[in-house]
Amino acid sequence: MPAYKSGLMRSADDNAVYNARIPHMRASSSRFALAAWLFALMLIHAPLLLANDWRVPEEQLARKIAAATGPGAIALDVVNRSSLSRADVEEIRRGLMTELAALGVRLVNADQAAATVQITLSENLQNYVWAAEIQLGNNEASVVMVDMRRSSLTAVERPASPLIIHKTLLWTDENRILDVALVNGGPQHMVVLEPESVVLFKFQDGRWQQEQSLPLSHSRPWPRDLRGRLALRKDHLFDAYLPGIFCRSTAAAPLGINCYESDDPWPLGTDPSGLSAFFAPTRNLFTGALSPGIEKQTTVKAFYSAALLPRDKYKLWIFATVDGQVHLLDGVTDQTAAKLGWGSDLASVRSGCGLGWQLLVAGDGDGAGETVKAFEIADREPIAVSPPAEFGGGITALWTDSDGTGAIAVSQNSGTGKYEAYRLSITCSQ
Amino acid sequence: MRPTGFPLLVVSSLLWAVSAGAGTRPHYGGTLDVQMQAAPVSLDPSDSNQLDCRNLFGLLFDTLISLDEQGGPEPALATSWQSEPGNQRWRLFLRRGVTFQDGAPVTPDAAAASLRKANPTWKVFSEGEAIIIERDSPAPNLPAELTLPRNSIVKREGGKISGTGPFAVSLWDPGKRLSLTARDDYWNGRAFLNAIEVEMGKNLREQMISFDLGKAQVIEVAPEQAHRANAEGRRVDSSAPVELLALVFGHDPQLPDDGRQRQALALSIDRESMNTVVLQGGGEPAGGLLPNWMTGYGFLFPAALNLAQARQVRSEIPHTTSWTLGYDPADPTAHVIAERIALNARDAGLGIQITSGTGADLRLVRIPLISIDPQIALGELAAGLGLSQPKFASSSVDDLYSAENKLLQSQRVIPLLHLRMAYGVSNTVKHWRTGRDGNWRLANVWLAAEKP
Amino acid sequence: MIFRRKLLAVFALTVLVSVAAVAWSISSLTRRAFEKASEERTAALVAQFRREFNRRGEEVARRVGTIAGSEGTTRMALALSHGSPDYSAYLNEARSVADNQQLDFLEFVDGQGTIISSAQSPAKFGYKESLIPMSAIPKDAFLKQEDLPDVAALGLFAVRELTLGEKPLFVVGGRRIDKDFLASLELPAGMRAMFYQNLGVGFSPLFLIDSIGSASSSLHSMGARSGAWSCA
Repeated sequence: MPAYKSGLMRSADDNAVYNARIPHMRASSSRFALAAWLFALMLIHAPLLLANDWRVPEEQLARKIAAATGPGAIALDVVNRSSLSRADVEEIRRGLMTELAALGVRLVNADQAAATVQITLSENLQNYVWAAEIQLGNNEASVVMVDMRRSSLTAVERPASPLIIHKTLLWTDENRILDVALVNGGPQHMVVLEPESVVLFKFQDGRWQQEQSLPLSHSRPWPRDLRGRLALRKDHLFDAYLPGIFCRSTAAAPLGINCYESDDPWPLGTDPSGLSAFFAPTRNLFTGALSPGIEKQTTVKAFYSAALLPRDKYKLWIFATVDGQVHLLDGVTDQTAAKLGWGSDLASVRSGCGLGWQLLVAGDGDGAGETVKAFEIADREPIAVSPPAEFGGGITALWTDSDGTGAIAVSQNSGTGKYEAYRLSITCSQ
Repeated sequence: MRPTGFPLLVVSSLLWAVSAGAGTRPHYGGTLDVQMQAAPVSLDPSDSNQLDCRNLFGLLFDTLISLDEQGGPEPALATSWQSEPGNQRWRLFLRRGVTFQDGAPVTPDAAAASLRKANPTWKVFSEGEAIIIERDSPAPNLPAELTLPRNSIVKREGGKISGTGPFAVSLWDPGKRLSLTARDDYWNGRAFLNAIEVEMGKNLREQMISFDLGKAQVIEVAPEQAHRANAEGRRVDSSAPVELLALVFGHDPQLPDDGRQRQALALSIDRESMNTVVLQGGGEPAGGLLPNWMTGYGFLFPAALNLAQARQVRSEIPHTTSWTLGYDPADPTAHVIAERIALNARDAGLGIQITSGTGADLRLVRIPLISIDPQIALGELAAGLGLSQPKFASSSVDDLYSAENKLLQSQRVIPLLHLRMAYGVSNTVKHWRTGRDGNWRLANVWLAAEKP
Repeated sequence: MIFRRKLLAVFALTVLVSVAAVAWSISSLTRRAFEKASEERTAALVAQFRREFNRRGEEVARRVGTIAGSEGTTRMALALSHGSPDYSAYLNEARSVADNQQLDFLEFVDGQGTIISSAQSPAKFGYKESLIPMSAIPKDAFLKQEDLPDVAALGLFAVRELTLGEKPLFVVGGRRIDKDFLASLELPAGMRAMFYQNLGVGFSPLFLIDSIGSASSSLHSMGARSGAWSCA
């Protein structure tokens, strides 16, 4: 794996910052443009990702059939018992007819045929199975079959809701994705936090290409429902927070990572000097101890996630506690909002629309997956301000992204089992 | 935001909030109460008589390799493996840092000793950090074989057994009760549950009563009861069809007429009615030994009733033998199925007398498929049915079909149905998943608070 | 001398004849008295049997009538009127109802004679009940042989019809005639009742039962009529 080139950074003597952000650049429009561009790229590549090549099994099966029937006239019937679409079945039928014709087998009606062949397109857990039952005259029927691996289909980006939440697929992986951070610059980079490594990607030739994988060292087994957080830094690329472990990327090239056991609190917001909270090293929750605290409030009930909604004169923090409640802390009061029915994952996004900041909340959808919806809290009552953005499975992570203008949502697709990382952004409805 | 959209969004937010109850993260803690029919007296997975205790073994023990939901091997206690050309010699690399429940480390020696006990014909030894397995014939499917419960890595010392699984035994009353506690040092992450209490030897009716009274959160449900239990508002989760219901003869046909009579019987059985009515849709008619979802070609073995052909075949037999059909008297559904088979056979002109005693000419049996790997499943099925072991030249579907076809052509077994395993699961149990093989996956299960 | 002998002979003969006549008279009278008593006892037993048989029959008919008029049967008839019945919904229905009504046999049968649910043989759904269709539904109970999975049995049956819409539903229920029935008869001392179930071809001692069970083979065969009985 090539070491990361420092040429992309300013020289180390200049207090080099890895792909420093251009502070005065309007974040929301650049984010929107990126999201739209990625969306368009995904749409272009989706058909290619989804297409299957049937020629090989068609050829194999046709050859086996021809070996049994010999060149002559057969009656052919194709039956589908698999999950193949009608279009695929038709394509396969045509392909088989072509291959059989190339082998000298003529296709005729049943009353003119010397043999009847029924092909059944079936499947098992791993493969498509195509079986041909060949009846030659009054002989006992013979069976030939072929199989081919079923391709796992990449999730296709569904058109984002035309209303408020835009969802852009960033990455799909069989490994659990804990967090994703996008690093601006030319070319753009993406950091993906996984249980055993941090993987760096570069956007090149229209797609993300893996550049480097940095293994994480940990002596204890990870707890179930593993969570992790990435924080982009100025003086080095990133920090990674995992239960009981803290990892920091090296400041100088070649890029590396140092991990050590630590109970350092995790940042809850995007400001490194802002509020942090201690994460239980053997669990999937924050203990409730805050650092430094929300003014005088230094503890809260154990919680799963928290989000910041800045107000003019104070900061309102929202905590999704493990008992299913939502706590609103402003440095003075701790107000409980019960029976909201929200999920455990919250993140806040600065959109510039409405009140400026919205709360993204994960919850159940109608289908197999969860949804994320945006809320505003004008006073202390949450009001939904968007229709739900749907996912193909349960949400496993929801974090505000590094500059606060969007959020990273990770869900596990209930169909494929793969983890899908999205960037969520909010645009004002017209 | 436009004022006209505001009320709609308020309403939708309320509706969404009401429905969005389960989007919460898993909770650690709680004790899961489970009941089961089986009453094992041993927790040793190498005891081949305990096919219905696989769920328990999965809580206490791990195998070197496990199968994912698509039947592909994935690392468990072994992190990687390789075979030498010919597939007779395999090397598996053991995961580091794994301990048995008594705290002893899992070493290659210990793992090798465990495998030797379960497989006396294998040559298993350690070599550095690896385990070497040598077989006397090619074993291309060894990874799948290693996923079988009997190949769990077990430490046997002084009459006690210890595993590496997510739970440890805190109380064991053989045949009656098993108490398990979660291991904090489990290599794959501590389970969400604190403990599991298993009550054994409970018949299905007792289990259902306990479930309705809230005394058990997970119970077994007979496949023919699953539909009704669901309709009555209970949460029932069913697996893919993973249990074979079949008629098994004690020996091969002695004469050609014997074979023809068996063929006539097979053609006369109305599997569809048996499944739809007697089993209330709790299975699927089976013409083959393995279900179609596992092989992709199960439909090639005819399962439909063909009374005309049955009578035709019967008419070619000058003298038929009257058979006795044995069934398990403890299973009321088996009695009805046996009766139905006798009636169907009579329609074809064959005489069958049903009996609950032993020594019958043919038996009605239920055998679970203990692996979702089709070659392993077929081999284990053949062993369970007393048939000769199938031989595979390769892992192709052609080979599998030929092997299965050969077993069926022996006419020792007439497949009837593939049954689903069904479990009643309390609404407080979250992230429950019945595996494709019908087994529990309790390590990822967590308990939500009971809603008032 | 000869006259004395003749007189003696006549006298002896007279005495002999007189004694014989008296003895014969007494014997005849006694025999007739015993026969009459036996006939009366037999008649009483026959009457008792008939009463018990009729009572049983009425009871069976009453219970079958109750079943025919029940809500469950009505629902079944309604389902039948909408099309072919869902056998899976009624697999155990007959057994459950039979248990409640203490009947040994119960079947729900459609107008074509197809069994919808059977208590005595749950696997018989979809098969034909030979009784149906009937030209006329008998009002009273009747004897019928019932083929069970492992044995044939004799029962006292009643049939009732429920017609909702165009398709009739028949309820065929009954109770076994077996040793329990004989045990319910109160017999005088020294008397034993047995029952021959004419269920096979030819005589089989296994079909001869008494109040305990299968009777010993010490007695004579019965007539050809089903349910013929004797006492001794």
